[in-house]
Amino acid sequence: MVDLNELSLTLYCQFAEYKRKPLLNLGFILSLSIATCTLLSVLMLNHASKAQYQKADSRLGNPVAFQIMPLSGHSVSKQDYANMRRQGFSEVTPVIEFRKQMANGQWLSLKAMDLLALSVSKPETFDSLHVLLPKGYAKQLGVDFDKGDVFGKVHLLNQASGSNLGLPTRIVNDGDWGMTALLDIELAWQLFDDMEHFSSLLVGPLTKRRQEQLNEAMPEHLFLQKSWSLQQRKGFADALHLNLSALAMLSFVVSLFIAFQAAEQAWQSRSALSGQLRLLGMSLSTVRQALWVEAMILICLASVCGGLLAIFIVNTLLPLLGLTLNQLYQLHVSGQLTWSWQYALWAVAISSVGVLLSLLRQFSQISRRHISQTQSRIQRKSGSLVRIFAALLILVFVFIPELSWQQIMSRFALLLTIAVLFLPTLIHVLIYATLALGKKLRLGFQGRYLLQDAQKQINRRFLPLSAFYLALTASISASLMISSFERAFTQYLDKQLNEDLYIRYDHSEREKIADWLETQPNVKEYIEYKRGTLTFNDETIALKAYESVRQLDSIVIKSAPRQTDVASSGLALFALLKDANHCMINEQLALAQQITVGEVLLLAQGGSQLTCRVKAIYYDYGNPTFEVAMLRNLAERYFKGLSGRSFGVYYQSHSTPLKQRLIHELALDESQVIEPREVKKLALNIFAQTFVLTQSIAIVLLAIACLGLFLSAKTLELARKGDLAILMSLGYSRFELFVHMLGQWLVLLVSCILLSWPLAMVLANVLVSKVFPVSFGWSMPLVVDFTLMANHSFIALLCLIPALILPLYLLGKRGLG
Amino acid sequence: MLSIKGLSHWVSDGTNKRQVLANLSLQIKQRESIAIMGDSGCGKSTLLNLIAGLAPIQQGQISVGDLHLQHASENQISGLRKEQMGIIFQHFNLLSSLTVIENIEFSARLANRFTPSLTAELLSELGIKQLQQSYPATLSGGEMQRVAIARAIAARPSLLLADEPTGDLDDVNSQLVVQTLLKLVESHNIALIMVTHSKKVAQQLNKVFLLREGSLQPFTQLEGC
Repeated sequence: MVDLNELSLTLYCQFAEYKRKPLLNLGFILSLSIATCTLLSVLMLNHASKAQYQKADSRLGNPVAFQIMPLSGHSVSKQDYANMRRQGFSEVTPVIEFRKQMANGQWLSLKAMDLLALSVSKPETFDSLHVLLPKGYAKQLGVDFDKGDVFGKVHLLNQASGSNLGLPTRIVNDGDWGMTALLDIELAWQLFDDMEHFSSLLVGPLTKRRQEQLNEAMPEHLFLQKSWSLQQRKGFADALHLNLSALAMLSFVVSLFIAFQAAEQAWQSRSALSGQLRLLGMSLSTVRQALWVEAMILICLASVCGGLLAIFIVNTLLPLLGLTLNQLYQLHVSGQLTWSWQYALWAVAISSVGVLLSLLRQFSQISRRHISQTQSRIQRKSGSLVRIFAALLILVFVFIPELSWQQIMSRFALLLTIAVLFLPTLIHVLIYATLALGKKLRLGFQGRYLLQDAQKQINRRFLPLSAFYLALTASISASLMISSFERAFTQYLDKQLNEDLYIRYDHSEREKIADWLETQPNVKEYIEYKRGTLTFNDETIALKAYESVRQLDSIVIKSAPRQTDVASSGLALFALLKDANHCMINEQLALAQQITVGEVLLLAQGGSQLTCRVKAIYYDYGNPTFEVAMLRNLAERYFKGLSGRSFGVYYQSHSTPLKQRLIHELALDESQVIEPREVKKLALNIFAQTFVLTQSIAIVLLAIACLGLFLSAKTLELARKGDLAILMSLGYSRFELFVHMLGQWLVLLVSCILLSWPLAMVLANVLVSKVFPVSFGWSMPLVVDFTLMANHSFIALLCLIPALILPLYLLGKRGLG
Repeated sequence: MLSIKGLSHWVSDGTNKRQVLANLSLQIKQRESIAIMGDSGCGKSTLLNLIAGLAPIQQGQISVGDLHLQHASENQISGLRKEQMGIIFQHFNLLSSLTVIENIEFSARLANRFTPSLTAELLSELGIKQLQQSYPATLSGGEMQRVAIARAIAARPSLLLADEPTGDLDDVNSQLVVQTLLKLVESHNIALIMVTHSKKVAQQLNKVFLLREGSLQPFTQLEGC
């Protein structure tokens, strides 16, 4: 039975506690809200982005199994297509890819194919009477019909007839075909009279036998190429989500540490209050009921505040996550958050766990039948029990294998837990060593007492120190990882984009660009990038052909035979590759297929095969494809279909850049001519944005730790009032007392900082060398930057000092009486 | 009002067991006031805790009105403290988050016996009217004890237990508190059991007992126990 009178009076008293100690209780609610928010925001982030990329996942498997491509300098003629159909290859569909300049000067990419079947099955998206222009692409091109109409005409410039041709166009929702307009091939023939050839022929799935038959039936100038599949990207995205979840779990744990500590402080007098109420005749059941009501209110508050914070964070971070997923999938993912009812349930569930875990001890103390007439003292778990537990965890840590990324994450989460359990012991040892050193350095009495007193405070301050230690370790390791990434990526881009101009061309433009470059006195050298595709272990991989030392100079080597110094010299790399059948592979392929230097690969393209020995593995950051690279003469000896797609140009002098003149004189599109310096800037920006996710969580962690220390400093010093009063009575001035208290905190915090460094280095190394490969498919060398670590620690300390000074100052000001 | 028969009690520190009350008996009637004196650790507070139902009865009987505490449920004992007993502690035990007036009203409301006129009367009689909006932390020891008395009486209990109510007070304040307390006990028809070390305070009550070797002995001379 609920006695409403008793219950309301108890609740009144509990509410009065909040009114009397608003800061302490707000701190508790805030830490619960932050705990809810950190985990909830990442769950929401994962859910929202997963919902968006599930569609992308389904498209990873390409419905087009093969493509029939022309060799360089050739084309797929209508006759070729007709011959193949005549021989019974009905799976073959022609495609024409071309570009036209619009009246507004922009270049429009078009893809013509047979749309009849699609216009019957999906008339809402496809038809064979219009050019289908995706909404995003239309916006990019500046195409906008009157009154937002979806039908209209896009005018092209300078048709052969001399008049401006108006294309019947329909704006459709962004589809799966990317930034290109789609039209039926018959419409293309009607509209453009220069459509003599096909760009390629698409082929559906084939049996091995049928594939061989097709290979034999094809004319010499065509070759069969397996289409791209991005199935392996699926795992990368999942790994990315897991990484985020791991960071969020860490934040949740840190927040719980703070919430637990805040609960102990905010509820310190609560068991005494319950005792007093029961002495006045309040029944235990009413006290319990009131506690539950309070817990429910706390859960609601934490859910609402945590949920609102999470919405804010997710709205900020979702576009960034979308960017990362774009890189993984090469597909557009929207950055809009749509609220789902599940989120509210998650918020309640997370905050319930937070509230119950933080208040468990308080609940059990208050719910005892025996009435406590004095304030309960917190019983510390015996040190030996903790040490036995830590030893057990070490055993588990040693024996967990690192076969999957889940195991890697679990293993290092354990290491973090072990480090936290040993934190008091390690700080003891550090202070003990400082004291021993202090003897030699003749440390003054007050200094020695400060250290000894700090040593005695370690256990009492275990919770805030652990939270700070966890937050700082996570934040330094994230910074080290980002700094390593920046360095590695900048070095990579410096080498990769070392040319002054990068020109993309389509087949018809190659000759005129090459001729133009030949005539330019300011062109010191230009190189042609050639690519093709191969099959390795049933996987389609890219083939990159190199012909000059300067081209090879752009490669950043990860591993090569020890006796050769290829890391810094294209010449050495050239020497390594020029003999026999030698090749290099990118790190993505090496990691995915567990290939090391010296292994032999069997590469195939159609009926041709090449056995090549891997002489080096190179870094290829951000590239989602597997790649093999070799010298051009070797590639051309074995494989057909190596096509040039771009030129790299090196200037004699930077005083007369060629970009605008090239565009103007050869009527190229702006997007075809790129200054790599700009790309470098853009690429660094994109990656910096991607890591904002990690940095934000690291900052949130530090902020939580600051809050925790602020709360601790206030209440822990209040609890020590007696000791401090003794010091005052012995002649310590208020200022000396303030310095003593602050000094003590600083000794403990500096110890935490020193202890966090080695662990942060280990964790950062795990991130770049183990977690990155499974998340993104590539790794990077760890750069241990002590200046960065010191700066980071110093900034953390600077943030903490105000959080400590204020409560300590107020305590000194109010006196110790 | 209160009847104690053959009450025995032992305390244990984990290894040793010590008897603090041995076959103790006591009767107290309405409007009667009893002082219990004794050495520190002789069991005075234990006796009060047993009467208040704050510790389980190991042997013997305690009856308050019709209720036998040894057979009573947790809720019955809480109900007893709420409706029939008032307790005054040496360290006041005021609810620190509530103001003086809220503290006084609290126990009356809890017992469903809140009357604003009685609260006002208690405030003036105890001389704490001007403090009614203050919080306990800002009061002196004497003031806090007067608030504790007002709180205990505001619920109109039939039995008042006072555990060294003047222990933390100086002579002047002790006198003031005891005299006010006795006046209120008289006027509100309350039975009082007070544990005290002060002979001067004890003298002012109807009966004085000495707790020695676990049992109560009438205290006739003003001698040390």
